[in-house]
Amino acid sequence: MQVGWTFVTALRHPPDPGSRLEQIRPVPATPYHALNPTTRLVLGLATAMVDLVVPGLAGPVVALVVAGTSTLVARNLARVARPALVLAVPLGLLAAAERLLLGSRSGGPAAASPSDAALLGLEVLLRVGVLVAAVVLFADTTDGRVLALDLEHRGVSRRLTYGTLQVLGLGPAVWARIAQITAAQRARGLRVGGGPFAAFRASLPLVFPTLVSALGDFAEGSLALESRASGRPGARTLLWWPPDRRAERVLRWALTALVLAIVVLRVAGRLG
Amino acid sequence: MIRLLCRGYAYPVMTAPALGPLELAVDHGEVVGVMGPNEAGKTTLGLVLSGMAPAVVGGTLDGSLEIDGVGTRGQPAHELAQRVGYVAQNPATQLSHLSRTVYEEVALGPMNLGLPREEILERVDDALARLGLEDLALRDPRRLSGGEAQLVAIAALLAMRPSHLVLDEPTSQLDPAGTRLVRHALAELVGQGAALVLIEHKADLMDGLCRRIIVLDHGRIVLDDAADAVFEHPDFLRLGLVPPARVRLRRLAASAGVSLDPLRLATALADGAQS
Repeated sequence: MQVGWTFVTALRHPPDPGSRLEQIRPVPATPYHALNPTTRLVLGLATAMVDLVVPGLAGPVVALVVAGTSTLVARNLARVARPALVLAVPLGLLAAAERLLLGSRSGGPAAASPSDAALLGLEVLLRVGVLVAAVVLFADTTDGRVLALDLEHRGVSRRLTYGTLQVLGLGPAVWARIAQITAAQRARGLRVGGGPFAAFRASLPLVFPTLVSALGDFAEGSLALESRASGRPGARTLLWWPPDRRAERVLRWALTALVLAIVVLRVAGRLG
Repeated sequence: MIRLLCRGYAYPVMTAPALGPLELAVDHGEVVGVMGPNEAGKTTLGLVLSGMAPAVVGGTLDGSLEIDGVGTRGQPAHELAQRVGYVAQNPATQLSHLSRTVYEEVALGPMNLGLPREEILERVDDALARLGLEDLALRDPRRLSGGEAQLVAIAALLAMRPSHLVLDEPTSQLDPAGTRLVRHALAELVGQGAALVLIEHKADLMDGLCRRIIVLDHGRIVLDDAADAVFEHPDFLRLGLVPPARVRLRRLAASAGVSLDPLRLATALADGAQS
């Protein structure tokens, strides 16, 4: 028997459907946030590829201009620059020191000059810094749920987007739970001295049981999704999806073609 | 009507059955409360009654489950979900983490069903209104408290509009006001003909809502009777279960030699809860 549901009487002030849909769409904070999430993904990937594949300083400098401009437009400089510098500066210094002390492979210790070492350090600093910046900018400005919605609207399998989001959520879930457990341990008087490294080492024994427990939650979450018909084959109804302008589509194809061309030229040895 | 004939159910890989032989029928408009000590098999019974076990969970059900006279064997989970709605006890795992707003979270099921957009919006607005969640509609589901998440999970179930419901401790993290809202919403659904199976530790929620209570122990039904008869049964206390305040108060009064009219006491307690 299909139960006869009676509705509407429970509503206090039924909202206008159009206005409700307008309310649940995210409001972009900056012109960068207004870009379609797939455009942001392609822009980030293209920046990283140019940064990594083009030899010498040219690649990282061009990538730096793109990533820097994007970061400024997104008004996200502090959040992007900090992790980029924290990771890139030590690696750049390490590379320069290594070159200075051990010399280049071809010339041996005597061939390494301070300017040569500084140049290598700068290149490593730029490459690592821009790569980190591109990743952080994308992750910090793009809600994975909106990206998944956009990909689903483009025809990517719902199971794939669901699964990817759930798997990506496992890491943060495990760390959040470890933080909870360590906070509870501290509340019971356990003190781990010796700074952040000791704290990290003390949390290692918690990783496996917490991961097992998170996998249990993952299975329970999958059951909850199934009980909401997520396994139903066929297209589902989307309430909204991120706008995608013609100019952005052109930009994405152009960036994809550019990256392919760079990779082909690099493989063919035309980029030096 | 939900009708379960179970000779045994075992989870995947497990050899020992989690549920022993039992028969259970829940009629239209009937509310059956399920109680029992820890590890009694309450959650397993909920999963089997909703068809999620073995359809999603896996395992082996020796027996049959019929919903409105139709067997569920071989039915895909998304079809079962429209016939019997199931909400598990941990609200943190009931939310999808796929939606940016509570509104979209509640809409997820109807969206998955491919319903027209207008119907989805109408269902979601209705479900939110039933549980007083309109003010949370634009909140990020990841920022909800345990109680709010539990209400949202129930609203998401209501938006699916299943014919019958199986709820596993639906109010475990709710305050009294939230519990009353859930109780009211469930009573409305039962009034419209849904069969409801309520797995709960809170006897006070059961009291008045469930006319019939079954008590499980070690995967078997050990008591199955009218609520009052179950609350008064010596085995109920022996299993470590706590009867509702009304029954406890009457027992205390009786031990002190004071007689209380059960009907007036129930009315007074209900009035107190309302105020």
